[in-house]
Amino acid sequence: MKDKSNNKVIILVVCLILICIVAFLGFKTHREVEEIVQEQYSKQQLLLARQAALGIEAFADERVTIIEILARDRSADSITNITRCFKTIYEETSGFYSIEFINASGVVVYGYPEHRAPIGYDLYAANRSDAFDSARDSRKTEISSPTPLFEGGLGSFIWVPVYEDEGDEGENFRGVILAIIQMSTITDRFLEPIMQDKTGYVYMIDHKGKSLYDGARSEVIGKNYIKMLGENQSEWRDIIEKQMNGSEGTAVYHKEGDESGSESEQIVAYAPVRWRDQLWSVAISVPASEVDQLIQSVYTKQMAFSGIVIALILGGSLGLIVMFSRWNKTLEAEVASKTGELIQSNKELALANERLKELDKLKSDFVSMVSHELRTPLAAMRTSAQVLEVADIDTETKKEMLDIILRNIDRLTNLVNDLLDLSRIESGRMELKFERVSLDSVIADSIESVRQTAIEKGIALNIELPKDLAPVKADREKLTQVIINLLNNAVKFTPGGGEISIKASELNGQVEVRVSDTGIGIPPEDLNRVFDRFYQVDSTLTREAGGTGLGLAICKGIIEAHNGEIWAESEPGKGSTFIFTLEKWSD
Amino acid sequence: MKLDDTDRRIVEMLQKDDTLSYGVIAERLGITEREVVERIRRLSDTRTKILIVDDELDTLLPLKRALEMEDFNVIEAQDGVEALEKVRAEIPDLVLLDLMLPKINGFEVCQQLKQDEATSAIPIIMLTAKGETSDKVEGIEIGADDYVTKPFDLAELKARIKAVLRRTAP
Repeated sequence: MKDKSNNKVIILVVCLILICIVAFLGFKTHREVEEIVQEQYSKQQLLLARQAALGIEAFADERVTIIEILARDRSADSITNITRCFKTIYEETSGFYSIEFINASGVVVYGYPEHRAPIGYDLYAANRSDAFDSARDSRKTEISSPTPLFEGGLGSFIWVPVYEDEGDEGENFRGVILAIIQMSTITDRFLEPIMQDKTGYVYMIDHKGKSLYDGARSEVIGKNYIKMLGENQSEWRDIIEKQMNGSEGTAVYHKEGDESGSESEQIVAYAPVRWRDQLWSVAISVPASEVDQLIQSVYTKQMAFSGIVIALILGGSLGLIVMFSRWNKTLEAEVASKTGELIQSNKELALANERLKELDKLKSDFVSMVSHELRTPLAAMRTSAQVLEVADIDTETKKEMLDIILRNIDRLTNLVNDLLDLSRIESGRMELKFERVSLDSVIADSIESVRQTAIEKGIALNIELPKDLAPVKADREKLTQVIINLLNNAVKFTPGGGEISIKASELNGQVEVRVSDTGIGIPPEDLNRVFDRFYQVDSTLTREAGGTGLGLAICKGIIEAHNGEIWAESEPGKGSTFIFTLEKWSD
Repeated sequence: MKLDDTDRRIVEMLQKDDTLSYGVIAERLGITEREVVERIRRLSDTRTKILIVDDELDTLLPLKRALEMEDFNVIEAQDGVEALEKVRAEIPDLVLLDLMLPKINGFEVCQQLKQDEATSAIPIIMLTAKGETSDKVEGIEIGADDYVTKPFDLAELKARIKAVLRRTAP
């Protein structure tokens, strides 16, 4: 008992250790997976940001180049000719908000689309000539930081100076082509699609930290992030500052929860947009929970897969176990039943063997008995004959000897007849002539043949037959033989002063005949064997009553050939009753 | 022929005084006069005495007649019990013993006679209708002096009887 409880504790401890190891490994693996997934995810976000940044660069640069080509190509043309191209450019290249021409004195003289052009607007008068001057003086394209448009939203102003080359006299400043690209055009095209149907948002700032686009909060567009951020958001501030420097990368910061105050981790991937002297930065900000969800979804799928696999394996195994155990049970049951059958058949074989041995013994006893029964009368006859041979014997002895010879001839004849009867019965060659037989006549005839012996022995003979006893279907001669045999037996085994009765009655459509005596009786174990040939011989040589021992065997054979039954009942010491049944005669 | 004590005393008395009546002898010996008559008849019969034991009268009778013709004194018994009684009472010179006997079979009769000192010297010839060798061997083993199978030749039987008597004569 103690060993068992110790074993239990050990098993428990081992289980706990195993569980801990598995949990630790699982946790570690989870961390690693998380890191890898986060890294991959960040890289992917960075790629997205970079792609968007490049797109913006290419788009904006292309617009500038078109205007520059126009400015250089048409520098000598009339202003009308220059401005005529505006419409074509506006319509063929999407993205421009408006294209305007500002003459050398700083007044807007033409613009397309016309409704967006403040024709007659004097930059100097409005005191907004900085960029104009800068472009004129540097003779290079000047791009101003995105500034709010009259119509709302931010716009990028591209100032392209137009100088007419006049050879040696130098260049003649003709004015500036001002092209405005609305920020929303860029962001609609490049930034908004990134985050469609995704968690997280995109934002873009310029090199001063001003918001150019914010997918989450459109109200902050135009405002400076640095100023908006509080002291406790230093992590994000660091990122913004890196963005303002024009670097690219990924980072993680903890964002103060907007509503619940809870902290959430944000992954930010940022990439710079370099457009001439402009430096912007695109950033994609995604909550780290997205990664967890990704991992979780992977886990969920994996778990589902594992679950299904395990369920399948377990189910299959269970099915197999159930199947095998059923099979096993069936087999066991079959084996048990087969064993039972074998035991049964063994027993039957043993019994049959015993019966065969008995039959064999009966047969050799039969032969021995036949030998004895043949030799005895032969011996009597031979000796008598030899006595007769002697010449001088008296007449009396002569007669005596002749009687003996004749009697023994009869005896031999009887024995031969019995043997022949038995042989016919056993080989099924007994011929029966069935007829309507009335039992009382047969019984009366039979009684006559034993009456003399019975009277000599002092045995009473009773006949009890109902008056209306039905006739039976039988062979009269054979039936008489049966009854005489039974009566002879009864007389033989009944001592003087005894009684023999013969009764008949109808029972279940058959006629039953009972021959009872008050003789020595039959031991119960021998009741069935009395019908065997030479049963009487038994193992002892003692013969109390004589006879061939074939009578009852012949009776049984005859009655069975009549479709009847014959059996014996007895109370040893008080007498025996032999009963046989016969079919009633039917017309 | 063998004599028992009673026989010897009868013989002594008659040798002293041959005028003694049977009644006086019977009175002196405390037995019936009839037994005295029987004993004297037996004592005066000097023929060889043979006991035939067989339950089949038809076998017994012709054999008896045949042996009587040979001048044997033949007595008979029809079952084992009677055979034992007769042997003890008559002390025959030879027993012809059938094997299949009612009550006590021939083997047992033979065995009992051979075990009893008073009768063990009496030769026994077994007569049987069973010709099995095993029966013969058993018969010889328990002390039978000869074994004859039925049916037998009368002359042969007589020869065997004489041979056995010669062999066992004192």
